[in-house]
Amino acid sequence: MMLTAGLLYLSLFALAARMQRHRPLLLTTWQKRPFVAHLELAGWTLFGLSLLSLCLWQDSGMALVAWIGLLPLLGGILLLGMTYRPAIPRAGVPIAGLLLVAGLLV
Amino acid sequence: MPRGTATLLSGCGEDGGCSFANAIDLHRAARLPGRSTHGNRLHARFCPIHSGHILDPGGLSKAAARPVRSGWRYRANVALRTLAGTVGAYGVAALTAAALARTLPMARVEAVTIATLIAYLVAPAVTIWAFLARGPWRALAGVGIAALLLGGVGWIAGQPA
Amino acid sequence: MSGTSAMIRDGARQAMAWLHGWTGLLLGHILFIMCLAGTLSVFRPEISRWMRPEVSGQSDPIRAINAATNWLSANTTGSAGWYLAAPDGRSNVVEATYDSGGAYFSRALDPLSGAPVARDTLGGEFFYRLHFELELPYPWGRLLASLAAMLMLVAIITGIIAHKRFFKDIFTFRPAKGQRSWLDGHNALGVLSLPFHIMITFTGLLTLASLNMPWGMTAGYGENLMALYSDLTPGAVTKAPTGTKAPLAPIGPMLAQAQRHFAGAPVGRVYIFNPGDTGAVVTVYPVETASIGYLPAEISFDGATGTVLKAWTEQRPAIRTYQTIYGLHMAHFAPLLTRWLYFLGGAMLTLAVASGMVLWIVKRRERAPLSIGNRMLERLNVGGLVGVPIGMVAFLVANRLLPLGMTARAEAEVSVALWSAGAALLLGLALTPKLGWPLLLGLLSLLCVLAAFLAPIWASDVMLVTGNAMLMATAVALGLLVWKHIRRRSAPTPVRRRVVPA
Repeated sequence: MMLTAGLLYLSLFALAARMQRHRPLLLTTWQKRPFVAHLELAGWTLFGLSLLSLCLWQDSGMALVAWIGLLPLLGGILLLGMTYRPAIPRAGVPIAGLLLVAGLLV
Repeated sequence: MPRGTATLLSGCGEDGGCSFANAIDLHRAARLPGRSTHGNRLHARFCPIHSGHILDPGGLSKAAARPVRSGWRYRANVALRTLAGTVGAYGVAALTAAALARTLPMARVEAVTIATLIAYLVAPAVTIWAFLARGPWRALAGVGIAALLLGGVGWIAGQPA
Repeated sequence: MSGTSAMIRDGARQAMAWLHGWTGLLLGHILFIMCLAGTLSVFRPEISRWMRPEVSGQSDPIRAINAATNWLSANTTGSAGWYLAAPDGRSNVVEATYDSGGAYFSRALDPLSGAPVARDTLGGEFFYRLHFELELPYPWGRLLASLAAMLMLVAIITGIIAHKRFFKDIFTFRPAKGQRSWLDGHNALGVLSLPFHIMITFTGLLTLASLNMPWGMTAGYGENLMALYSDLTPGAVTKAPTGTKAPLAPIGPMLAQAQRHFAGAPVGRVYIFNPGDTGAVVTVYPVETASIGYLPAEISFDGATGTVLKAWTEQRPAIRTYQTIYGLHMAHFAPLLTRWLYFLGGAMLTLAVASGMVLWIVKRRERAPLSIGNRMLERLNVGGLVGVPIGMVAFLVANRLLPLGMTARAEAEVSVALWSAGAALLLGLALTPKLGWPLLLGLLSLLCVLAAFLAPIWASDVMLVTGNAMLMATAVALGLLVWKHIRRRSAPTPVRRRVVPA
């Protein structure tokens, strides 16, 4: 669950950040970095990885359902955060990273 | 694109309505210095209302004057497609279920189950197709032919023992 | 004809957008009711517990069913069948439907004594029934629900096709900009939980398949539908009543044996046909929480002797597929977090439907003064979109206020719900929307507070506390909404005019 959630959040963040409109809000000082050009590829790769991570779950049916449910939850955090308080989705990145690592280790 | 084309293209509203209420505006815009009649043709190419008149700038005035949304032709178009997309879609789905239930090579209860599942996929597909087909009569014809074929298959197969 | 058909085809997105708008509009209010009731039904047993706060006893399923059957044996006459649902971790009563002396009863039976609970109420079952029957007689309610669901499927697919910049717009939300904001919100709600919406609509249609797409069944089985049902659940045996009386054998050992057959999964539903007759049959089903799959097994016993008649565990792939799809909709399998995710998805779908209805009006109002039809629709939106929740919360308030000993108490609660919704609808139609929106939303907010405070707020039962917390949160959110609406009313509404170059 943690691995999938982390991957999914990072993928959504990357996909949102690649849009001109959202980039200043989400990336602030990181905007000029070279990796910005690869955000779209990174975003979709992470998205695919989050789906692949479902294979690691014990119960595949539950895994798919949980992924379907996580999508609006994480997307909603990103969307509402960007509209009202951009610091929250930015803070989500390290948290998602931690979840990812924790998920890999556990 | 020639200068001024953007203005001509911006005349197209997002729902296909044309803001050039008077074709004279179009002609006047085309005659402004620096703007070629090429810009005129681009508008005619993209504008859903005037697209039929690409080689007939004079006919543009007729097209602009005719109200497209409320003519009886338009209403009939929509009505026929709706018929195909509602009753037609359901009918095709129902006949799909019946035909598959009788022909799928598995135990009777399993064939019935799978057939019903597939029918639910067929219904919205037919509805969408009814509105994307080239014309309303094509939509109805397509639905009718599918119905006949499926009905025939189901009838020939007969009820499983 | 080519000009107009070209318009419809070449403007494929426009055609899809047109179709999306109309399918959404036609049964939008019905879909709103179904989505809201369905979302609440995710927590059906919890709501039932909130509505029966007196029931404090806990019991394991076997003892509870035992108590229930003992009570039913002593207190019913001439029953054709008792349909019992055992308590599980979430529900703490035996939900029983039975007939006695010709009349049908639906009661919650106490898990310890087996007697009907003091507070006669439908509980969460009200929302569940409303969701797929819309409080209309059989089969019309279910047919209407099926029709609405089919239109919903078309609306979702056309919405996807019509959305021009699907991935670009995906995280865009610009508040306080009139139509643009409503469209952003409607898109976000629809797209962010799109896999959920598609899944829930498709699976929902399937649950009513025997009613709305029976043609596969009739083609395969003709008139002999009983054969279909026995093929579908071979472990459920039917026997005609013989007329000879015989007491029901002790049910405890039967249930224990059933649990062994289910590989340890607890007993879920127990159906007792022809109780008190030698032709009695007891069919037991397991709980559905073990995995995603409705009815994965069943076992039938001879009611008078307790011997096994037939046992079955479902292995056939086609049937398992159907059961999994069914189970995905029912969500019984879902543990707590997943259940909240279902709730979130359902709430987003409900809000997507509601925002679509509002968007229809807002979009047209920004272009030109509303036509008479749209003005009616705007008022219908106020009355319907707020009136339906008002009816639902009134149901909860009635549950707290109606006297316990009242006859037909459960039906009275439902009447209160329907009349309140009706009154709110009329109010919405009568008042100008400028007044109607804040008034009705404020009323809803007050009703939520009332429902939360009318009973022990701080109870030991987590579900009671959570229920009250949800009501209070809703009340606060609505209150804020009304306050913002009143404050913003003085600000001019944004207007979009077509730019016509000179």
